[in-house]
Amino acid sequence: MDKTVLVVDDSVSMRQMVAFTLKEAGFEVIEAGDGKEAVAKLNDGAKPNLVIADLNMPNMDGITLIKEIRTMRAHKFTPILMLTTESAEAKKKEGQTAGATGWIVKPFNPDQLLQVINKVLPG
Amino acid sequence: MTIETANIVDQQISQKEDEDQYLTFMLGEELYGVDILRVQEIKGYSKLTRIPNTPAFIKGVLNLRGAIVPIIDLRIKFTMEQVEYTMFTVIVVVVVRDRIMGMVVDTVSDVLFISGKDIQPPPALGRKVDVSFISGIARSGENLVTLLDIDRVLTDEEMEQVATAQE
Amino acid sequence: MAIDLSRFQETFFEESSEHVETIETGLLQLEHRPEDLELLNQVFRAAHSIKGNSGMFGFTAVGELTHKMENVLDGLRNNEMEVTEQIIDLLLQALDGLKSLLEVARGSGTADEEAIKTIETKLLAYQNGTERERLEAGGPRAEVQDKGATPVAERPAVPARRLVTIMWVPLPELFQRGLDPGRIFQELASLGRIHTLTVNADRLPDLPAMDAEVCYLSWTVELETEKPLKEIDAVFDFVRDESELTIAEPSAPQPPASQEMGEDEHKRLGEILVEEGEITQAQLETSLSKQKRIGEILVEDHEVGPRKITKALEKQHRLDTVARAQRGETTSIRVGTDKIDKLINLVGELVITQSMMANLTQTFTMDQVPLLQERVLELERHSREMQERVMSIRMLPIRTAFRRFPRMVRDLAIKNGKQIQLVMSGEETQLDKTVIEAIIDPLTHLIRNSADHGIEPPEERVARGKPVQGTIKLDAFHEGGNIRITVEDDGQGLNWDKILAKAKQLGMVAEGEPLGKKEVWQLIFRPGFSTAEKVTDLSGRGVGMDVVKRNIESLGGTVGVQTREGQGTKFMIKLPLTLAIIEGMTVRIGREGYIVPLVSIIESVRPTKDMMKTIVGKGEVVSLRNMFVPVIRLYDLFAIEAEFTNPVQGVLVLVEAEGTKVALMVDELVGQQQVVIKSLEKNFQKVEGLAGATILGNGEVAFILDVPGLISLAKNGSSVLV
Repeated sequence: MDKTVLVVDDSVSMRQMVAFTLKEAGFEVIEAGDGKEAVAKLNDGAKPNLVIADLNMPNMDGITLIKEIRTMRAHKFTPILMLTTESAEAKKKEGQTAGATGWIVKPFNPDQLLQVINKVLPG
Repeated sequence: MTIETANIVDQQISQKEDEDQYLTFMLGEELYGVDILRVQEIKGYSKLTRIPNTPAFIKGVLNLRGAIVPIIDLRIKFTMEQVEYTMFTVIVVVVVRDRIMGMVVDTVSDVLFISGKDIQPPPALGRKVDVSFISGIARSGENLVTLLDIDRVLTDEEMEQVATAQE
Repeated sequence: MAIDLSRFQETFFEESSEHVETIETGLLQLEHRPEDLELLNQVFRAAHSIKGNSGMFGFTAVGELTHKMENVLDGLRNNEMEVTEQIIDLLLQALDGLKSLLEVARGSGTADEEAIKTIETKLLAYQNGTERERLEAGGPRAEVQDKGATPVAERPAVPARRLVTIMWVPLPELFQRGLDPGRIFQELASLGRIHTLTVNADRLPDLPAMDAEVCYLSWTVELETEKPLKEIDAVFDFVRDESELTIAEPSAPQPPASQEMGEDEHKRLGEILVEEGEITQAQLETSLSKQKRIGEILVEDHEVGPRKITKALEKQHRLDTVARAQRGETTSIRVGTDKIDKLINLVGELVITQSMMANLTQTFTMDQVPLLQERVLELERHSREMQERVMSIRMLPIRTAFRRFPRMVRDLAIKNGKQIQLVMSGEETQLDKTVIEAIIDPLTHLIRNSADHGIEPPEERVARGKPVQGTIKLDAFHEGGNIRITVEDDGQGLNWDKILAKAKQLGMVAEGEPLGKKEVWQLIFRPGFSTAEKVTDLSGRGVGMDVVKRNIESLGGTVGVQTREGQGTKFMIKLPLTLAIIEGMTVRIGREGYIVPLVSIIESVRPTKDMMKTIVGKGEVVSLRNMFVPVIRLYDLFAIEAEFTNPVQGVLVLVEAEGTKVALMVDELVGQQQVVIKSLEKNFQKVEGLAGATILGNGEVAFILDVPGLISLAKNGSSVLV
């Protein structure tokens, strides 16, 4: 069965790009525009094998989202990758403490994205 | 030159050099031809909506899958005798400078391969006959085919004249 | 995998322009509410998003500028500097630079690189200022980039196969972070061969004290690999920070194997020959100039005739042009996924109904007529709903047009030395995207007029007992099937005497001609009329109110004005919600049907004989409540054979356009319906008196009447006197 990835980003172009890359690589993709939407989709029964979340989002930011996900029974151990920029080292630490599995530093290209995913997604 | 063009060239080599396909149709006893690449489709005659205050050769407009397409009667345009439309009357839909237009003709006859060397320039017929929209004359077996320069037949200038005539 | 990112660029640009708007509006509001942290956060987020995304698409200049803006914004956010007018000004300037850079990235426009450099320097100065303060105060340092790796015994990378020993004591919360040690071993295995894997369970507590979600284990791996340590280390990227990790080379490394060949990049043959000194650059160029195009070669070899080549080249050119046109003309609308989901559901239902009907027709018997009718009804319901939903996709809040105005008014106020506040309401009012785009210019003009000429300078306002700060109100709301937009200022109002004097001077009004109030105000909409005493570079560009009026009318709308001298002016615009669909009345003339737009219809009457009058023998009018309205016999104007030639037998449809009323004579009113406007010009040309065409239920085409056009046509072109 195809693996499902939940992509959370308020930026449509980023989401499109990430989703497109993932779909090309054979993943199922669920999209959400911010943390709130992502939480709602998870509560609705979405069962992603991986979450990719931007940190900087309106309504509910990435750090809060990661904390929320870790409180969910079903997603306690789901790998979460956060999208960061190179200047946000402190944010990265904060994300890890909140429960993020890893990170991808923007800008990245599709290959790098897939490499990082490969790192955290059980084969 | 791009690979794509090279492909086009390849494809065209397979066809005989200097030969083009023409869709031919009848108007009375005369045979006319238009470059087949310009023909979008051929459809039976159906009821048209007349456009007010336009010359008689513009028969009206037709709904072609949601597009409003003007229809021209070539007989009227060429000042030939008018005939009743019958079940054989057809409309040849052509593309003229990004526009879609239809021409009412008596019947569609054939698709002919005509070689460039068989095409003669339109003869000078004196002032009485306008030959500006004829790209050439060719022989096909026993028949004479008048090849139409479709852009000229239905030019913008023509339409502008229509507009000025109205004023 | 090679993925072309350019297809997402359009979205990026759209998104960026939204972020730019957010920053602009935010900065303008911030000037008044400097303590609003949420607002500041919004602005920061928008800048941050542009920065992050521009990098993805390789627009470095955009990224660099936004990065500097972001830093200043961050400083504001962390209370390291204060929101001042100067900072807002600088950020707004930077934003202008950013807009131009985005345009350039998009492939149009130019950017003043010098100016942008200056702005960037200034931004840096602010940022550095705060950093210096921070240092002086001994506060926390700016974040130091930490890309450092685990302390790995740094030795030159040895690309030979050897046995590397890895000792890893992971953080206890490994699992809670979604990390999987198995995955790490898999990744290690992909780098070579795992020789031994030793589990160390020393940390494992007694069973009762054990927490199943804590990782107590640690591992020692012996990996046989030729990969450099850096790559092995990278496997632990996500776990390194809290783990204990040592990666060690074997004590006696084996001699390095053969050197890896550095791959030469792809080079052209000529370049290599030049490099190796076999030929000179000049020789190469001479030879290259002898190269022929493929077309020429084919012709020379008699493979293909010159005509074919010309044709192929033409086709190539055509394809290029088409491709270019397609690239250039893409405009897009962002649509909420919920709207799309609903449409998809609807299409699903439509398909089901369709297949049910297909089934029905295959085995149809007459007793199934009621069933068929039911299905047809269902189909109708679905398609109507679908039409409404699709139309709603084109509907956007007018905010997209309004949001540029606060900045404009601010700039105009500063420029004119005035104090002006812009109050906007009804920004969420929805209307067609095309209408929104087309209304921007007229609105810009009206607001500029108000700011430049309407609102008085402060001293004048004080002298008149008005508040120093002038107000421009911009409002939008729905009314019936229309949208109304008003632009109102509390300025000096229109000057009756000045307008009249100017009109006389321009010969628009004859001396002594009696004019009503409404007519005088309408004068300002005449071509060539402008009362601006001083021409400003913003509104004195020769584009007058006549253009405003024409633009609005071309959208099927109207514009009116109310003014009180000394108290202000109010412009009122009325627009249809959409250009694609109109409410129409179908009328019949002879055997032909025409559609009259419902907006222009006032009433319809069947006149009695004594209501019909003629003036000077031929001008025909109908008398309606002491008003004489000229009659246009449509069958006459359009040369149609009508059923009735006597108005008493037919119907008169009273219509109004541009302040003129006329009565259109038709045979019969058929009914009212919504029609989709189709262009007649796309494949044909503009026909006077017709606004376009539509397709009726039976598939036939019917024309939509252009009421203003009919009036002028009747005035100029026919025997009917108006």
